[in-house]
Amino acid sequence: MPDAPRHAGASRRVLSIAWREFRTTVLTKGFLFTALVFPLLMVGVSMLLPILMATSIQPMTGAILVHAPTAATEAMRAELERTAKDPATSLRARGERGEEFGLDEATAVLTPIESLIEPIAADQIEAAKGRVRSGDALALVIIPPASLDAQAKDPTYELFVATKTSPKHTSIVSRSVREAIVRLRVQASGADYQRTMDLLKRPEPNILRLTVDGTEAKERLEGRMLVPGAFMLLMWITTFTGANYLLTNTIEEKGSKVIEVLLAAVSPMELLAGKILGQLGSTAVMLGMYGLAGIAGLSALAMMDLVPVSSLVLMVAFALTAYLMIASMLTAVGSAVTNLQEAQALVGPVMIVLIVPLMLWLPITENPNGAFAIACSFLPPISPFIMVLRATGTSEPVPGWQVALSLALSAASSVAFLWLASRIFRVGILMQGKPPTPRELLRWARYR
Amino acid sequence: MNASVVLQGVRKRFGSTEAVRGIDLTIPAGCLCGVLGPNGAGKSTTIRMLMSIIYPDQGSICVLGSDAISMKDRIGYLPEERGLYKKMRVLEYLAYIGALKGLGGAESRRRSLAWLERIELPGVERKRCEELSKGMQQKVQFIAAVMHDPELIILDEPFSGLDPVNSRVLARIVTELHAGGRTILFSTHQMHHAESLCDRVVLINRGEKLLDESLEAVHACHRPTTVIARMEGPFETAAAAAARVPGVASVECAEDGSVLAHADDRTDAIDLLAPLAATRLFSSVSLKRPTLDDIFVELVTAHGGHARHPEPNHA
Repeated sequence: MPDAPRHAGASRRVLSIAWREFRTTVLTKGFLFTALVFPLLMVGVSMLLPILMATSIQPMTGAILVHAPTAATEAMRAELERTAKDPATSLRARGERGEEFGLDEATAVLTPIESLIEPIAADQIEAAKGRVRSGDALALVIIPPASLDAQAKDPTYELFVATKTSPKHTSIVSRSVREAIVRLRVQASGADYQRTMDLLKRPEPNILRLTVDGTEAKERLEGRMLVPGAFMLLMWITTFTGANYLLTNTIEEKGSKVIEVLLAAVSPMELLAGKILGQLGSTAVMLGMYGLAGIAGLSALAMMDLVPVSSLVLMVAFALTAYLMIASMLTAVGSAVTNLQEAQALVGPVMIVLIVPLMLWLPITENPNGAFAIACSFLPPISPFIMVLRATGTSEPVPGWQVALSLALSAASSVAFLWLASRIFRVGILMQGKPPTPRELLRWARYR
Repeated sequence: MNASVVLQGVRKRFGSTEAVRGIDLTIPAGCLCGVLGPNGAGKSTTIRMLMSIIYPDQGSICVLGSDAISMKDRIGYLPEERGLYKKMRVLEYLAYIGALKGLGGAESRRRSLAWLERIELPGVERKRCEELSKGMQQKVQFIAAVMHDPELIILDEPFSGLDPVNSRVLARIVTELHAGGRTILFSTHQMHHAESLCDRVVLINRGEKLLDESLEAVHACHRPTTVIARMEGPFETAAAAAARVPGVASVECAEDGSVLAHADDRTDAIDLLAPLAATRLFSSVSLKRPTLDDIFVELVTAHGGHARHPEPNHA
């Protein structure tokens, strides 16, 4: 009688498969880049961004040719000097008056200004245009005297620039001209310019958020909108990446015919459980790395109070259910096909469903307690993503029973998805030949 | 009788194809049994059902007193569709399979190295599986099937793709394992392997069992129908004389130039020995025992030829 081999329990076999699955996924260059290098790169780039932007800004050089009344020319020269000397104050003053400007104009404040004003006569205008066109001068400004009239309804001026002129430089010149005209018109009306500007200042609210731990924090509305989306996106990327590894690994094992060797040692259910558990590990590593990078960023911006521990716990719980559902679907697909091309046809419908949360990001963040948002948060497999969008936002509290019900439904759906996947996996993993249709997949689930 | 495998009325259908049609089979413990049959006969399907990889539509299967799922650690299985993790190193792969079979890490490695030596594959443990030749890969897969020292070893076409040298190595190890008390079941359509190794053969064709006997019984049941007569003179003269012997249905020339005299349906070949010797044209006369190949062809032909349905795409 041969020696009886040591009996290995099902849990030990599942753990052996899971460990191999985890190790072969995590110890690849692709994963190391995705899970480790990429988050570090993101942090590094965000730290270096101001330096990179500053060094890329070209100084504004070249003469600015101005045909205007002398007062206007001098006002413009003074305005340009003020901007060159203290660009931030100049920009802030305009902001306080309620002016709105784009990112391009806002970043223009970082531009070193070396240009000088050069007055020209009317008969020199055509020659001046030639100088601008050839790059000999930066711009030509023509301010009609009527624009300086305090009673003028539509004051205007002309600004000529070359094709190659930087939009930032155009913006700086244009702003200087506008400021100079306004200053002269205010003075022409007999009012005091500085007093008028002071009167135009709009009060800026200092919104403070009273946090649960008793402190007060500066409110950042954009952060409140972005945090739930970031949570959902993090969950989506990591769960989908983990599930996608399962899809490709399953196809590879089936293609290399190693599956039947494994099935000689373990049951299909043990194999499926091991594979899903192993990739859950790699998903957790990714979630952890990206999550830590995000938390580090929020901490640096003093916005950690936007991410309470309860939100993190909720995200982890919902991420687990989301992973189980997506992993089940993709493993079932992987077991049924023999190559990635065949998989595309079956993964397509799954992807369409999974893209829905991304499309609903903004509407749900803005109205987290709308009827549509509530309905979607009970609809697997998108329910985990939608509920994370709703529950991690701080704009409107979500009723606790809805969170609990959504979590319970997602968990129950995960079990159902796993069961269905195991039925398909058991049959599909030994199939060869043409890929099945979705209808055939469902028929496999009923096989004995 | 202590049976390792018992199949009762097992049927399996794939779509419109009935791959296995009510097979009853009992494999005694310690037996070395060859499952023979042409391509598409249902051998691999039967074996997969034995391993609980697929399930029968009807009938029952009992392996080592239970179902194969709960006995997997006591069964060694080399599937027909062989596969390895190409990027894995040989030792790592064997250790992984050993772990799935319940062996500890150190024990797995120790047994793997011992088996690599035994199967004449020393020094490959650090190589990646994809670096091995097909025959070497097959030997590694054989180790994966037996390294946990199973009671029952099921080998699906173990010799296919092996060169004669490696076939002999594998045949030697199969014989040693059998001598060590293991029950071995292997499928093949290469009769000489079955004839030289098995003490029992099962013949399957078109999903039905045509034969299930010990090798001795098979030979006993299939009595010789031909006499080999070696002559000293010209073939034509000897053949003509042999053809005139009563009970000889036909004569033909053997590969070595001897006369093969086939007995007719009413005559036992043994009764032809004396009349042929009496012609004094032959230096020796002897019975030509039918080989397993002959019996295989005879039975399969009588059963309506080879399986006509292709091997099903779907399990």
